[in-house]
Amino acid sequence: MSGRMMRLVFALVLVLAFACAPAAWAVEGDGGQAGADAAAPAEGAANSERAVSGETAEGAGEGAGEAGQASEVDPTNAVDPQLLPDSSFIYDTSIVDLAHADSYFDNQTVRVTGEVVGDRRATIGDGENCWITLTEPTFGENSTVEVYMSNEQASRIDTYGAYGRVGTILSVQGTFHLVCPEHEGESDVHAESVTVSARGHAVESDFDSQSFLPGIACVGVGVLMMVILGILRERGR
Amino acid sequence: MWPRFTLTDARTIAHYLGLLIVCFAVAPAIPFVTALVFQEWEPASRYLLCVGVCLVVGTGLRLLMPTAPRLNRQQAMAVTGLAWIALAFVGSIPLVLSDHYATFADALFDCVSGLTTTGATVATDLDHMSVADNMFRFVMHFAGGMGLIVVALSLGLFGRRAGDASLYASEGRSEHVVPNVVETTRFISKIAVIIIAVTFVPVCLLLCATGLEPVRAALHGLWLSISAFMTGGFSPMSTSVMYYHSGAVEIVLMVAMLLGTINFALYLEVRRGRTDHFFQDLEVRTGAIWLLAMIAILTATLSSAPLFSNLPEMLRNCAFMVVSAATTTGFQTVSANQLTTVFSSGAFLVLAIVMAVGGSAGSTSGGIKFHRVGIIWKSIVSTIKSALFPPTARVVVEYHHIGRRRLRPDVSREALTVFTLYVITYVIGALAGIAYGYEATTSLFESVAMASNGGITAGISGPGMPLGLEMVYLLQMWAGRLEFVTLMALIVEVVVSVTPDADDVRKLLNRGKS
Repeated sequence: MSGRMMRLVFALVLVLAFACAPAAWAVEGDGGQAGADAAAPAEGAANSERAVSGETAEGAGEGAGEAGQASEVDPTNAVDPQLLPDSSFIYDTSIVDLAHADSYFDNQTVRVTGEVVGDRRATIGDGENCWITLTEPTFGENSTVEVYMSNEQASRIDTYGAYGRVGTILSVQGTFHLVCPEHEGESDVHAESVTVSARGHAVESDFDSQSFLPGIACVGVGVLMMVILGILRERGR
Repeated sequence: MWPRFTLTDARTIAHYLGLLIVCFAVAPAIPFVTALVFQEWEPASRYLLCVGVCLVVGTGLRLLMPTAPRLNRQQAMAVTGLAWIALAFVGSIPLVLSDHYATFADALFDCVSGLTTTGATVATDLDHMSVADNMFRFVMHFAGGMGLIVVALSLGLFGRRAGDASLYASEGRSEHVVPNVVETTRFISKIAVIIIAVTFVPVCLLLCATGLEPVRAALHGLWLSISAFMTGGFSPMSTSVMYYHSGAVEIVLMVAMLLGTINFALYLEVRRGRTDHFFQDLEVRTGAIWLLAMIAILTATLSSAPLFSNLPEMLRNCAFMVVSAATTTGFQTVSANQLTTVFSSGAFLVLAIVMAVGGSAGSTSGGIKFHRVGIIWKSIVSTIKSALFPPTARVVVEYHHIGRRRLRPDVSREALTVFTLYVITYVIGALAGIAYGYEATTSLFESVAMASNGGITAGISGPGMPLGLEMVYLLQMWAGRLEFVTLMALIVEVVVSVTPDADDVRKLLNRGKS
């Protein structure tokens, strides 16, 4: 198994563990609510992934806390003082923050959620990976981030956003490079895990003949005025 | 004593302005047809309205004087100066009705940016823009890059009554490619269409190879070709040329940008087989030395920053950024954020200086122009020679610009005047940015980008920028495109015309007393 696949599997296991741990804890604490509480963490994890977060850095442990609801403290759940601190922070951040990032986010693991727009682009000579553009679905900003991912990850995208289409909402976890040494100094995110938060869809735009009336009227008046002008010019000769 | 516009002058100017506006109706007609083809009904209704507004407003202005006499020089300057802003007003109607612009000022800014081929944009959600809206933006680039008056003259819109030479010169074009102005404009149009078509083919194929669908590759290829040769800078995607992640596309676009910055008169010289005129030309030599020097300086400046992993990559990126800045196109392979966070202040200012100087006269590019820089250098040489030689000696300095020429005082004076006006405008724009709280170097960079019609943005220009600053940049783009003299002459004429004459006021007051 290649190193990339190993990292992907590890990341998936980690996410599942954080998602299911509160449910398991809730089940052990109160057996009567097992069904409802088992559904809540999964729903909470999906909600937290779908939301466009404006939060800054938060530790990995808080993701688990977000997904589940803490009940009463278990007195047997003691903290092991021998456990060393984990330095692999994951920054839940927004695309707007990355678009204005400085060296603070450079080479850090980030998790961003955004709409896929444009096209899936390949680099000539690289048949395994491709480029995807994620955009922040917020009016007033043109913030985007380029994501470098495998073709297999990109195959999960069902819709690429454009006029008349809302693209797939994707949650990407990976390493952000302010200046990527592999890709000619571009700012990008090398995706380690990709999750579809919401499917894309088309925006219906029916033909409305009424909307053409002002234009037709204007053109009609303009042509009439040109005819009058022509008559006046002929008379003036 | 400044000449004043009379009512007859105003009606004559209105007639020709109206004629231009009526003919500008072709510009929104193209996206209208595009919208119908792609079944984008809402944009289609907007562009049909714009066509109608052009016909109504333009014909209304012509009705003020149905048969107009030949334009004199002052009237020609007024028509040229007002045409750019009048067409931008009309062109902003379909844009402001879309969901991509928060205010009319934003739509007007983009229109002026498109027509003046600056390339800075304040559109939001660019990646969801319709094909019709994008087509309109690049049609404006084509019309503006060619020159609105050039397009009108080449189509014979002004007939035989207009002062062709005055109109042509008022748009900042000092050289006649061929003796006849109309033939000159048609030659320019032909060259532009050929080069855009030649650029389109390889770009389209390369985009298909990167994975774009054929229709999107064709559209993006066409738009990028227009933007590159017209040295415009608009891009269909918000990440500019970085979106394509293709060195091959960047190289093709670089060639197109360089072709766009060559004086059109030199194309005729090459077609006639006089390639020695091309290689001996003052602008070509100045431009080549300048570009090589700036690429070397930028590469050296960036080599200390951890941007690139190897020299070929660094050279290619530096070359692209320098060419984009020097031709005042505005394509970016470095994001606005990287410009301000990763680039050293030295590299930042190098790009600003390159934009400030610009490209060749008689081309689609903006800036001070190589020609003037070369003339100023020759003036310095002449001054030093005059100081060294005896007073009775006759100092002659020659240069090669479409033939051998002798440096004349009026040519030196014109070059120095325009150079000074550009520098003053850069400073005024920088001060405006500083007044709004932006960093000094960023403000200066942005001001240079606007006045030189360069368009590489450091992040100040964008959705939500302050209205006052937006108006300042708009004026800078307008003034830079007309190379100041036409616009300043227009402003002086208008102010003098509306200000009551002192003698008339005195007579009025005395009549009351008697």
